[in-house]
Amino acid sequence: MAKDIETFIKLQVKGGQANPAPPVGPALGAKGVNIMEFCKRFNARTQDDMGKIIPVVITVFKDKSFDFIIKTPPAAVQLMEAAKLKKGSPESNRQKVGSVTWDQVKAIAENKMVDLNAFSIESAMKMVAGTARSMGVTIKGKAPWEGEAASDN
Amino acid sequence: MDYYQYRIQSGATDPAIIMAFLAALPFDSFEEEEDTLNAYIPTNLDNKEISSLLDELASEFKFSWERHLLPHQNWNEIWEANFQPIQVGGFCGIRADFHAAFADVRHEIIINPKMAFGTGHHATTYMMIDLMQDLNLSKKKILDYGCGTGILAILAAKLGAKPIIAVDIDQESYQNTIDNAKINGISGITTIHGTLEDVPGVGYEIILANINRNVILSTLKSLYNKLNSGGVLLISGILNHDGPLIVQEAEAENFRLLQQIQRDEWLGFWFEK
Repeated sequence: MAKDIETFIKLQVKGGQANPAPPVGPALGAKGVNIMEFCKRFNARTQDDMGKIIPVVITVFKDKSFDFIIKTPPAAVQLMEAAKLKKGSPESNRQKVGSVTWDQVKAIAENKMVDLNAFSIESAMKMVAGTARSMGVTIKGKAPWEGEAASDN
Repeated sequence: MDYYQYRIQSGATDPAIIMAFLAALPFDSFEEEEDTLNAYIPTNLDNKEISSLLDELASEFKFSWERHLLPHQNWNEIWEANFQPIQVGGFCGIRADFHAAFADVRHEIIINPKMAFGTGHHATTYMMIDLMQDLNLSKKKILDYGCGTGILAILAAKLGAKPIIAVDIDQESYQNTIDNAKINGISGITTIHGTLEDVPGVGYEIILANINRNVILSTLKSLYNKLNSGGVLLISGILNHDGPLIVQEAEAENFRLLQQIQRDEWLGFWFEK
């Protein structure tokens, strides 16, 4: 029989590095969940993405047990990494966030396909490109569907 | 460690975009609530530059923010106050100090875990204790690598091991091991706050390592060097699908696999040098 759900908790934590400090500690601790057990499981399951920000949705059941699903990093975070923005750099100003290539947009779109609700890689790429535009990240060259100047797609 | 929570009302902006910018600063984790994005940063990494960058981002992306201090505390308190005692067969029972004593176990351990790992509830700790049943620890030189609550070092002490070194990179765990040893009336554990490199000497007869795949793989050679010939390495914290890799790498370091056990999605290993 399915267990009764108490709540859902949505966190974004670095892969392999969950610890009982905030936000994990207060979010799970307040629900009476065994924080350390979550950290052990989360860190083991994200050990191939050490240090990358990983979205995790935790289901807390009424009996204080829990389960969680790990998602792919948000497109915005992946775009930021692709644009090679340095931590704490003065370039973190929105005007200078840098640029990515259409190949990089495609790679992120492929990675995000499951979460994006997109029917085709092209529509997923358009969503990622939209996020890039909102962030001020420019995309070099023409989109593959725009004809001759397309990169090697 | 104290933390700051930045509560961000993202308005019409996609919170993921704000998060992407904040993640490029030393914000290390986030929580998404209905209308709010909470960003977290250790107080010692926060500075005026971060506030001014936030202001800059806030005017670009039309969001508002406020900062709250979250002083260090035992976030695990509610679970800790409600956990049930656990038994590994008749061999070992683990309980908190507020539970009644066990009637029918050979070794009883009291653990007040706070925010350290290791109460026996988790499959990995359970398997380590289970494997220790079959070891002769009397007068053996032991290293508990990644000691957490100190549960395995304390059990080793109860089984007659001596000397015992326990090491953990986490300050909370280091202190918790000292506290739990005291509650159990154990005085023979040398506790170190640090990594394997901070552990003195060689000639260990048994090493207990319930950590994780990456740490184990990166220290297999040092663990081999720290062990006596014929010494035993017990490992857990390894997911099922990482089993073959662990065995392959350990064998490449000349360890011999004597036993592999499984509980839930986790594995435990008994290697010999």
